[in-house]
Amino acid sequence: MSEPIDHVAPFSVADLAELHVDSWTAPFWRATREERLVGCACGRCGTFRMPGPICPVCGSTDVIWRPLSGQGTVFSYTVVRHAVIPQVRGQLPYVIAVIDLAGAPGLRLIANLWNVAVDDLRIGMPVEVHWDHISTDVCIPRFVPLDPEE
Amino acid sequence: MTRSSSIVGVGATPYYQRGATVARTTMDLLIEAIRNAVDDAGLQLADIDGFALYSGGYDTALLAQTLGLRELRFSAAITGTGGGSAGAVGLAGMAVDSGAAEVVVTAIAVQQRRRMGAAFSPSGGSGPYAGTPTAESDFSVPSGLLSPGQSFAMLAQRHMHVYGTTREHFASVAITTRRHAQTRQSALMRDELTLESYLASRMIADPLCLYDFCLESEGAVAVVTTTDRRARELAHRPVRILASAHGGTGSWGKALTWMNMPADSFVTSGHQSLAQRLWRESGLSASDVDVALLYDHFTPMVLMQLEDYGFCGPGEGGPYMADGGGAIDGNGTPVNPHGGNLSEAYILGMTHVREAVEQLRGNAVNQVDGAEVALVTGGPAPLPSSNLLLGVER
Repeated sequence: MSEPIDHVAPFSVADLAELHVDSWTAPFWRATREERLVGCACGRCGTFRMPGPICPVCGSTDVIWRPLSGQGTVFSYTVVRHAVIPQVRGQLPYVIAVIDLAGAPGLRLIANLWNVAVDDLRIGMPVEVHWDHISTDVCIPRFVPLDPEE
Repeated sequence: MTRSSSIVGVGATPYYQRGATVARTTMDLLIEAIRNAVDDAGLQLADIDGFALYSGGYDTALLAQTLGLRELRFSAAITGTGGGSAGAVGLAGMAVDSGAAEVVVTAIAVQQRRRMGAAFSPSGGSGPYAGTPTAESDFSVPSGLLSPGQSFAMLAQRHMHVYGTTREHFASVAITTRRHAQTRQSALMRDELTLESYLASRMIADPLCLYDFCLESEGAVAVVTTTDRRARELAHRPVRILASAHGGTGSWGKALTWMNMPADSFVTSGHQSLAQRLWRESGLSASDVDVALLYDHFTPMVLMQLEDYGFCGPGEGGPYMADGGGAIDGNGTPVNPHGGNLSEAYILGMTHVREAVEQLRGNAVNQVDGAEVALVTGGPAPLPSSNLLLGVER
């Protein structure tokens, strides 16, 4: 099969991947370096949330980082075709997606979709994590379409 | 709350394209707009005794001294961005209603020395949207999520998926708004916009193209709020504050930063609870509104606000606008007869307040016949956003 005409670029700009971790987000980024996707959950009631000092549901400050499968579905997306800063000019077009993470109800991750043709993009498409090691210290999770045959 | 305050003065600078005010300071623009608003009210600068601002506010110490205030008695700002524009006037009304101050100014000046559009990036952006890298932006910037347009594109994409909204629906907002702007001299964009030229324009963040974005512009707008009692002694027909709300549901919170709001909120403007509070306080509903000034930084957000405020049902915003529901000569409530952020100028929402006042005084360029109630909204954005319901007695 021929290469899809409008294949999006595998967005990866080292300038933008400098991290500014705090104590709440550090476990997430430590795990990505080991190619593990984890989700922040309340240690008392189990509700998944973005990393932070308190559970918005029960008020507990206990946190558990739950291992996730790395699979998910596309909740929404945009195909970026205009470079808002010079560093991304060579990267167009690229896809930013909101990924519903499997096994973590209510938790979504913003990530690029790689290895996908624009015409194939759709909300609800199953995807899985792909690790982009920017440096020895930084690994950014991207996502690629999940091949249902595998 | 019993509301007893009115807008009595409105003033502005001319509107400029991005970069055109580079020789002036932001304070310079701000003072010009405030002077014009106070003159319009028939008051003196020294009469001002309060500031109710938004988007971070201004150096009120410098303002108070520069304007020659006798005494500053109230100074507060709604946090956030253009979401606070309408609510800042509501805040002025609260200051007046409470007796804390008597003549309160709400104003904004916008200069874009660098592009606002690259707001979230570590190397671009300016003004109230400029972001510094943080632990939370680590979850967006490494993916190249660098601008509000890209975030709103993802809300729009899901609205299309859930409701069948189309790009032609978005186009109807841009085209209707441009048609309104054609007769307004202050509007920066007055060339006719057709569906063909809309569809042929360059895609920025699919599904949003060039014409789905508000303008990059500069200028300042100010309004003066005072007591109903004092308002009756002044030059213009008082424009009464009927109700106002700012805030929004907590789960909307960092909606556009993390995109973790509940799925049913994701396809809204985040204004549902604000709308409910506005209607509850005023005892009115969308059907009572004669003219709607809806913050239009991105076309899809106009559709979602029409839905959230009840001008139509959920998911029906696209057909509402496409069927002419928002046109000045259409079959529904006219939306943004001044041309809005999309075609007149983008002054973080204050042009909408100005237009509401002109409509209710009866001297708007595109006057809605017999307009007695106007809705103004602040920008759908992270919390707090806001709204304002204004009215006149015939």
